[in-house]
Amino acid sequence: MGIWQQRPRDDHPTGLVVAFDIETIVQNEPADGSFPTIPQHQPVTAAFLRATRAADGTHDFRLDVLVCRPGEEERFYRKVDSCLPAGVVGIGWNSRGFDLAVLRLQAMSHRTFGLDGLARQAQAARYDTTHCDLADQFASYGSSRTLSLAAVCETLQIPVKTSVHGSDVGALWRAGDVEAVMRYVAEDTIATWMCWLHWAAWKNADPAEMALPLADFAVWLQTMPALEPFRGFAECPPTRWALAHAPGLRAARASADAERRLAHERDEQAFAANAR
Amino acid sequence: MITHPIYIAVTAATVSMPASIDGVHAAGQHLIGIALFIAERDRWGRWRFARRARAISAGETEGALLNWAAARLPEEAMLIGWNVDHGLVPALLDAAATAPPTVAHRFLGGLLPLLTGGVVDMALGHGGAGAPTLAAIAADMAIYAPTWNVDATAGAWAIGEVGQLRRDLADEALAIWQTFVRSAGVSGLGAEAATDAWVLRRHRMNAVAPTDSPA
Repeated sequence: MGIWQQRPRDDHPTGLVVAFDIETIVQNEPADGSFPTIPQHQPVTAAFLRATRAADGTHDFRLDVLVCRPGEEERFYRKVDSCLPAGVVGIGWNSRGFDLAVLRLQAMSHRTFGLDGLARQAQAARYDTTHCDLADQFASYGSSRTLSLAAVCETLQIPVKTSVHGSDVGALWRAGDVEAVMRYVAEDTIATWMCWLHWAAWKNADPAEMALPLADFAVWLQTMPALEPFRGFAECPPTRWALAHAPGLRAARASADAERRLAHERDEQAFAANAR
Repeated sequence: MITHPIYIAVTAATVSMPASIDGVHAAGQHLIGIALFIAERDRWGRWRFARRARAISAGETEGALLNWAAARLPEEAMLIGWNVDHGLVPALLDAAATAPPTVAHRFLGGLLPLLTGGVVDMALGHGGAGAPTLAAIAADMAIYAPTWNVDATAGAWAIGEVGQLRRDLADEALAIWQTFVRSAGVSGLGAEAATDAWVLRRHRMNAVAPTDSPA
């Protein structure tokens, strides 16, 4: 079989990922209650959770929650772009079909170009390692019906959408409750990342892919005062599972390292004995 | 729920080490003490307890401590701790990473089964990494646990006066077990009564003066 007949790889690297989500408003809601088309959506908030695995296996996190107020669109899209630098794997839920499509069109409409990071994500192929649309993954690339983030989170016991719902965003925004919308988009972003961890652990057949980053994330949530509103994620069943299993996984890695060092030491002793 | 036949409460003490001037060694922690409290229930439901603690002075290696612990870890038990993944395990694994390979291998061979399959972290119910100290939580349950003073601990380690450090570690391991059985509710009542009786017996034993000492 020639290489051109092979499907491109979609084994997304797990060491540096950015999960993201956006919230939008629509000026004129369709009278029939249908979901508005892409051009009708205007982003008002976006959240980006970056998880970085260091060389020693520990994880660092950064959460950026951006607001797009009227007149600040260009600055907003440039910040969005800076949150998606080269080398990261972008993670979203229906992001290929909605979030990235909305961001791309709205950035164009404000004549904001030169957004390398956002363009890299928006133009990523369906089968590649730059972007991972989890809705597409969980639906096996269209083999089954697309699942909602809320439904998957409910099954995985991830506490998402506890404060407001997507349909509330427009009303909250117009009422000036920007804080509530920011919290909502951040919650969905964290939930998306937690779904990603389940996915990565499943696809790589390695529980450490979920347990270790999630255990480190719990510590981050519990020790950063600004993240107090999101501490529910540090106490939910998936995180409790991670905290219970991470010590054993860390010890297993340390044990393998000790075994390697011991074998090396014995080899050197044997070599020294033979050299005499 | 108290369902396991053997539990082991583990705690450890560390001191912070600055980075070496030549840049060879990064700043980190140095393990200076470990305590184990082992609670074992026999087939008739009777509890037996063992409390072990060891602390080292400046100049002694962490490997000596790991060797000591490796010889005392049970083959199978449910491990209980305070901030296990965030505090206890990194301290132990960091020490193992720099210990001689034979020591690290032996110690981790004993520790790994205790950490595999789930551990009980008593801090999780109180905010995890952001929880108050064990002493504060235990005090709310009328259980004694030592409070730690970083400078006093480092000072005791530096001058080799580790007797109090060893006693504090032992008390902390006991306190972890006591908070665990208290949190277990009704299922922990028998274990708590047995623990209290064991502690009382040990106090009485310690209260008996040696025959050659003045009254």
